[in-house]
Amino acid sequence: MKESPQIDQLLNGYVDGALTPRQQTELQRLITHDPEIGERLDKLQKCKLLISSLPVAEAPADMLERIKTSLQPETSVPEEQPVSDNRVGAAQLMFRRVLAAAAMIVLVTALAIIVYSIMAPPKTADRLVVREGMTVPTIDKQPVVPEILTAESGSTASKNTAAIVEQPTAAINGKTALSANLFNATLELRTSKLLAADIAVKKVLEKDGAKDFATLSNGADEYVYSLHCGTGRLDSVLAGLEGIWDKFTSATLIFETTQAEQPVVIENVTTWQIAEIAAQYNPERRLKAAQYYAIMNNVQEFLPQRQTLNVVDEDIFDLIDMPKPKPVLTKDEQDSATAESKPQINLTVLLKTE
Amino acid sequence: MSEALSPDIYASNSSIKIDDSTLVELSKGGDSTALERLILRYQNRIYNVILKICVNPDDAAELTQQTFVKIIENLKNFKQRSGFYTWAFRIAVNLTLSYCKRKSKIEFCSLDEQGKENNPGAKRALKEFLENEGSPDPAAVAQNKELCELVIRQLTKLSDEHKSVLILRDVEGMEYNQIAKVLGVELGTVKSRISRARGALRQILEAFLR
Repeated sequence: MKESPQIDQLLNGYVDGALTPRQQTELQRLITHDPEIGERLDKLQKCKLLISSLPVAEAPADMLERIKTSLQPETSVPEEQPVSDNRVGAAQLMFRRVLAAAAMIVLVTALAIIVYSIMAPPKTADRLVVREGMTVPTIDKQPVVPEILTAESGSTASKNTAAIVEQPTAAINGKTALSANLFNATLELRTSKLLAADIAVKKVLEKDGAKDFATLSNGADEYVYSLHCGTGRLDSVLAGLEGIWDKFTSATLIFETTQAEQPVVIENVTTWQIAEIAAQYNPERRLKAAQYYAIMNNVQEFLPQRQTLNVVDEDIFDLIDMPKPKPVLTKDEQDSATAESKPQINLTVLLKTE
Repeated sequence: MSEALSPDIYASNSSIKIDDSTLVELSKGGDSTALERLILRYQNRIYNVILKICVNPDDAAELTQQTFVKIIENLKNFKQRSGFYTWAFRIAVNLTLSYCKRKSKIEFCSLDEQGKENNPGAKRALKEFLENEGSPDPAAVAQNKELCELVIRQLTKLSDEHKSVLILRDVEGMEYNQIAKVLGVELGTVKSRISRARGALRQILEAFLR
């Protein structure tokens, strides 16, 4: 007889006592007609008997204790563990937030101090004069340049030089005399080799036989030159100075303008920055540029790593609400710039020993 | 066979028979004695089934322990829509089959086990049992330890699916509908699976005796 799943199920149902009376009758009829079905039934019954005859195994006697033991860490720990984990996590998160907030406060405070020290009006009128060893021409007071001129005009200075210097003298004689479009600044350069530096600076100034500068002072510990020119000539001079810039131990630009009551002091100034400030056609923008570089150079000192400075660079503009100096003018600015004359440069170069 | 009314062959020494659902409710309420009664009532039955499936006594003990731990951990969520008996065995069988699946991937049949299988005395006893035209004595099988080991070894040759359904039916004595609940399958699936499992075991035994 061919094996049939239906008959097999019927046989197994019979073995397991799971057949209805009608199914049992049907199976009896099949067995009567086919002895092989009876043989298969016998084999299935023996299979079942073989398995059900296997001895019953008992669990280890200490099973209950083992369950209790394994339950102790299982029930107590999981209920408390997540709570403590959450607490630790929350505490760590709070600590990080507080730390980040503290770092931000420190950074903002430091920047605010720097900005305030540069932009806020000083309590005393002699803020720059107080600076150690620095001779600064101030607007409110009698400027240095005219004094020196007065002393030398009748002696060593040539007539040509005197004639050239007269124009800036008139310009810086009092705040009202300062032209709005005049770049009036003092560049203080300190060096350990004053004589060599003087020769080099003079060589730069005398390049191409230029005669637009005057030697105002030629003392033992300082040399003072006055340069009055246009921006093109200033760029040329600055390019020449760039070649010997590393010979100076410090370079400070004191920028004066009618736009501000006090001069802006830019420490560690670079030739590029000077050129950039002078290139601004708008006096207001020139002041902003000077203030910007004053802050940036101070920040650079405050933050020793250059990378950090680069990161905060753009943020500083937002912080102090100051536009970044733009050498290229917008169309509107060009329109207004054409109405004004090109800026005249009045730069005093002060060479001093360390 | 209803779990509440079935004769408890492993009953502990308690004289009062309390049904499972009452013990479950008491256990949920924090009655540790009721919980212990439940464990004692089923620990041997569960261990026996697990041992027949996984063969190794140490593994069976460990799996029995894990089963009861899981039962206790999930007792609060047990709604008694099914009986505790089938629910407990469902946990036990699932744990055991998962364990066997993992174990089968890393273990191979050892030479020692192959040697045991070739025990001539056990083989002869098995042949006599199957070919005896009269009604064989189940007690004779139970007393023959070597024959029992041989049968268990043949059982391991079945697939987990077939092995578990046969053990639940022939060792634990479950009804078809209870097996369906334990294995999470339809009643018809249980019937056909039992039929195929017995057919497969018969073929394994015949092949072994040839």
